[in-house]
Amino acid sequence: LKILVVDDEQVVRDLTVEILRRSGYLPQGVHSARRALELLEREPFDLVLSDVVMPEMTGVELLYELRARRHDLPVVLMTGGSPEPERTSNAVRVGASGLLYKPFSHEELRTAVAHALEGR
Amino acid sequence: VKIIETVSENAEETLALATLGRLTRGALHEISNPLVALLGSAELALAEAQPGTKLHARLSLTHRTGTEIVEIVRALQAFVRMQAEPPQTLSVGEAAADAVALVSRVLPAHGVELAASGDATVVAAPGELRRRLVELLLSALDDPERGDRVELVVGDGVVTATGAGELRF
Repeated sequence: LKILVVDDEQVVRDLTVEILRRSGYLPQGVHSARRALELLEREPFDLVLSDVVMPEMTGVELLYELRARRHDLPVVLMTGGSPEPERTSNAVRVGASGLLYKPFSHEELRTAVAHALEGR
Repeated sequence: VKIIETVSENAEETLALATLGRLTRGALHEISNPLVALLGSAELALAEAQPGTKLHARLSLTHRTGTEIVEIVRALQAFVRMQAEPPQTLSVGEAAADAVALVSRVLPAHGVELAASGDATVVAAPGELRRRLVELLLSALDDPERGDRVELVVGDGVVTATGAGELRF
């Protein structure tokens, strides 16, 4: 199963990709929501795992855009206690498949991904 | 003049607290990425290290210490997140246990046992209820005659704390 990891923090992105790879998934990391949208136009993915707070376009905005284009694609948002908790919880109400709070353990990451994929 | 001075001091204090809250929320957010890196790397390295070696022991210590920091950060993040939630039906006993857990983790009072007992339900904002319970607990801890056990006792419409008055709901 292909997972698109979107995070502007390279260390977090690389680690998340590595953990998911070791868990048997086919992850690919990108540094921005814009890049994620470009990639999703060309390649099919089974899940998007996106950070919330990113420059230019946030994870919540990415979710809205994806919901407008691909209704069936699960999106899990990662947040480190966003400075705007109201907007993040609204995002879950409008269709995020899950919310993963940073800092997370390997097990919590795997559980959030598996749960979102089960609900497809 | 005295009244104006008091109002002004209260306004100043409110502003200072708001700034402090904003900075805390920002710090909790900014610390989360380094902690993902620290804990994630330690967990990956631990899986690769040979058990019984010094390297494995050192990585275990790093992972364990990282986990302790993460638990403190998570407890504070949950408290901050809750401040934005709308009023709903809540278990006061559960909120009291959360307040005890938060204070025990973030402001541990050595030699003092913290506890919560009893239960009741209330319609309230989760953040406000927990904040008031934490304030009650901290008042009890500040009491010089509190002894070595402080308990939040939830009854019907009231929470009492050892030596620190009560919270009515």
